[in-house]
Amino acid sequence: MHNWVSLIYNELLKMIKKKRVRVILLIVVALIPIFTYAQYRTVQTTIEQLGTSDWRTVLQQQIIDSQNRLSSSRLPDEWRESLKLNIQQQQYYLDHDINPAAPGAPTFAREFVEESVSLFLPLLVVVVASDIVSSEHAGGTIKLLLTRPVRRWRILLSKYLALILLVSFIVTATAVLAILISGVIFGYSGWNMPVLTGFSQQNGELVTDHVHLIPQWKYLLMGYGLAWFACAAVATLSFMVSVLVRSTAASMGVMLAALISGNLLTQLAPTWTALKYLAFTNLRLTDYLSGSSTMIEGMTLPFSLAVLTVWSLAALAVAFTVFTRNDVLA
Amino acid sequence: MKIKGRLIWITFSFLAVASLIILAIGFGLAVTEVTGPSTPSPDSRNPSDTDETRGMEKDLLLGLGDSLTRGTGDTNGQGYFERVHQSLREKNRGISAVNLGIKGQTSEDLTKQIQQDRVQRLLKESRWITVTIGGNDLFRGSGSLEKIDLEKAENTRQAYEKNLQSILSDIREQNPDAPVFLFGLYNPFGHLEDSEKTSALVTEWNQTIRAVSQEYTKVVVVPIDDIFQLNPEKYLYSDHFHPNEKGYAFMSQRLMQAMQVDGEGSVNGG
Amino acid sequence: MAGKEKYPVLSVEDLSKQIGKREIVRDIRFEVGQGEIFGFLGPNGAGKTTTIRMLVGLIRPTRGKVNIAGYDLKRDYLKAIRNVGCIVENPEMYPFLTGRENLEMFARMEGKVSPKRIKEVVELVEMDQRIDDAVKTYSLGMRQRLGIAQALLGEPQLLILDEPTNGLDPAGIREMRQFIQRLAREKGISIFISSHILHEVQRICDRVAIINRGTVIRTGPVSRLLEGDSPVQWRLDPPDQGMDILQSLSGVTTVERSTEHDILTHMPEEKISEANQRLLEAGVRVTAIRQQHPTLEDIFLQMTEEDPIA
Repeated sequence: MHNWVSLIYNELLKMIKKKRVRVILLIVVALIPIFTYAQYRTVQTTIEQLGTSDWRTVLQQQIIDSQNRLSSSRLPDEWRESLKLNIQQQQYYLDHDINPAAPGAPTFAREFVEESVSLFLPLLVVVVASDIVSSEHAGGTIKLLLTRPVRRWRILLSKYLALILLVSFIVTATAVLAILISGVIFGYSGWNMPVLTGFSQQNGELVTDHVHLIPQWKYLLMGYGLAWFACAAVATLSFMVSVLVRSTAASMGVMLAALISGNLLTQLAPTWTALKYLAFTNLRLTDYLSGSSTMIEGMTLPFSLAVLTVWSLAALAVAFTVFTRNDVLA
Repeated sequence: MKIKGRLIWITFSFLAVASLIILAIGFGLAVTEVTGPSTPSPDSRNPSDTDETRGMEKDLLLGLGDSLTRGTGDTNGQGYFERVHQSLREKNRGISAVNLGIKGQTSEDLTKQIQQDRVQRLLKESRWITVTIGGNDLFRGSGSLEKIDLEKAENTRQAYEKNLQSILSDIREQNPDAPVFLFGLYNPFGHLEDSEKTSALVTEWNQTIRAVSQEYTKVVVVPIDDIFQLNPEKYLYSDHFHPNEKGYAFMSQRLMQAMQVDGEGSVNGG
Repeated sequence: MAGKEKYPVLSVEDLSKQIGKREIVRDIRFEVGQGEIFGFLGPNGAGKTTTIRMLVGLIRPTRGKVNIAGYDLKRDYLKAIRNVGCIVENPEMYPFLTGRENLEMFARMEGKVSPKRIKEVVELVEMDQRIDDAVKTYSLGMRQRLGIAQALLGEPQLLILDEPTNGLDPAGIREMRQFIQRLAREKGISIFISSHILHEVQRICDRVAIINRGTVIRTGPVSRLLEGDSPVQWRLDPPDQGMDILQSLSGVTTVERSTEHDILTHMPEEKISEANQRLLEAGVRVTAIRQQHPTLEDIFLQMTEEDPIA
């Protein structure tokens, strides 16, 4: 047991001493004020256009805008469906007197995770995860690492566990930073604001049978929990690539390309249902919580979790097989 | 003797482990939340959530109907419903309100809406129920404004009568005690040339509303046609159809008067 | 295990490695005894590094056995590897950590190393002044010493050093040699050194194995390898006649003209007087006989050139 703690501590130490983590936190610290300001501008613009800061009017206006877009005949059917669902949901907020965008740091953090779960957070994860094994090859330290009286699978597993810990830290740190920084402008209230969840879809209909309210802090916890799972899956895949590819730059490149194409494909070809079996089209887990419609039909939370889990397990199997069997050549 | 790490990195490691545990709990919660619809309390608001939801479930004011309940045309979006809610809250902070009004809703739509689980649950919990319904039936189902089709109007009125009966029966079935305040209709076109014809129609429909409501206990009809009769422009929104804030203020006054009577317990279904 | 008997600390049997169709190392066998300094010599590309990587478990042998301190490397990997400290090629450490952090990290993996032991090895390699600086600020010599400190952490019975003098200046090389000898003599550690520069290790090795094109072509004590045919330089007049006579003698391996009057031969020492007599009998004037002391370099070159097959 002590051995495991030592091994994982070693790996954590290497990761954080490498400056990468600090760079990532700096990126987050630098970007969140920009996102906050963008959000602030959006709210301000809406208020100016409507001549009111009353969210009911804003929401009503949004519904009307969406309805107008619906009546346009050029709208693709997939969009029409999701637009309809959006309208229903907004109407629900309106009917229940719930402000979906009540400003406040918790609300910002909630919207932030919903938007960043498919690309921003995974990018951060890829940056730290893709050099975890490849850097040992590149630096030649793999030879020192693998000539210790420790089995190879233990070394790799300690690396993986350390990576998962680091990913957890990054996700939490992002949440904390998002709240701290955006609160300067939006204030820190809204923790108990009720948020609707429990939306589900059946045949394109928004099923509201199980819709209910939960306090926003709980929603945040769940949202970041789901984002964490998505990030862990991304980390696992990057981990495999890092074992397979000896150069950090190459392994990062492979992962970035995969991540971005996953995002692009869902938007370019929403009718191509086979896409739902890819790992990177299933990252938007928070959508199932907020009730936003998924791009591809037939995707549910259990489905997405299953797809991510299968990909992750396969990646781990490959990583461990290759790492424990392969010769360390120059 | 063991080799110690630096304190700061040990702290970091503990933070990372704590993050992992918290996020894993969040993940677990989310999965049970989304996959298992085991939480059987839709619409039941957490008592400590916000002050507008604070209070006993039995002090619920429920609004049903169309854009009038919604508050369309009121510049601050309150409508009569939110005004009444505010007035009630001045007396009792614990009163909550749920507005189920949907813009453009007809009596046909409302009969369906009222079948929904969440609506039925809310009905059971309500202490007061307010309804505005019929305006959309009347002015959509009676031909164009310029040329009112009397035969069509009559068919629509009969359908409306049936729907209204169905709505009130359903409400009573869910909640036999809460008083229902049913607003009468008004004529937004009283200032136009054809005003006699439209006024006649509105009067006829208002009679239907009275007749139907008498079949049920504790259903109070709140007439508002008088407000808009003489000077409709003053109380109508720029769309010449919905009330403006003054119109809504009047509506809420009327409703408050009717509810006051209820507070003294001397009303028996019309 | 610390008995007096001289069991081999490292024994290698029929070690072979095939990558693709090419057999990079074939049927290597040798033994390294306790407290022995063993040289593993061969030109670049001869298979030294592949062999060393097989000794420490970085590469799986296709065939053959490696035994360290009595444990089979394949079956008892942990017990076997616990007795080895090694530097494979360059002493690469984590440059973003300090020397001490590097050592602490490896110590944690070793499991049973105390902070006192870290202090000991740091003092042993005389790194105490710079140990808390980041490794990226170290010179190559310092890195080499830190590498040795790292290898010694777990108090191994066998130290494997791959080209330990690579990149060091002459003073550094001398220092390294002394250090290695001290380790073997004072601590009784067996040391396995690979090198392609023979004169650097010739003086400190007890025994050497010479590897070329994947096979060991000779193993033995340095003194024994240096015996045998030594180069002898003759100055003869007339040289052509002298050359004919030398060539006709048995036991003389090579005869070649090095300058106009000088002839270089390889022959056993005891044959020199016989050859001299023959030359004199034939009327060839012998102006000088110079017997040169052979270096491993000579033997090495001679052997690797002689052996074109393999």
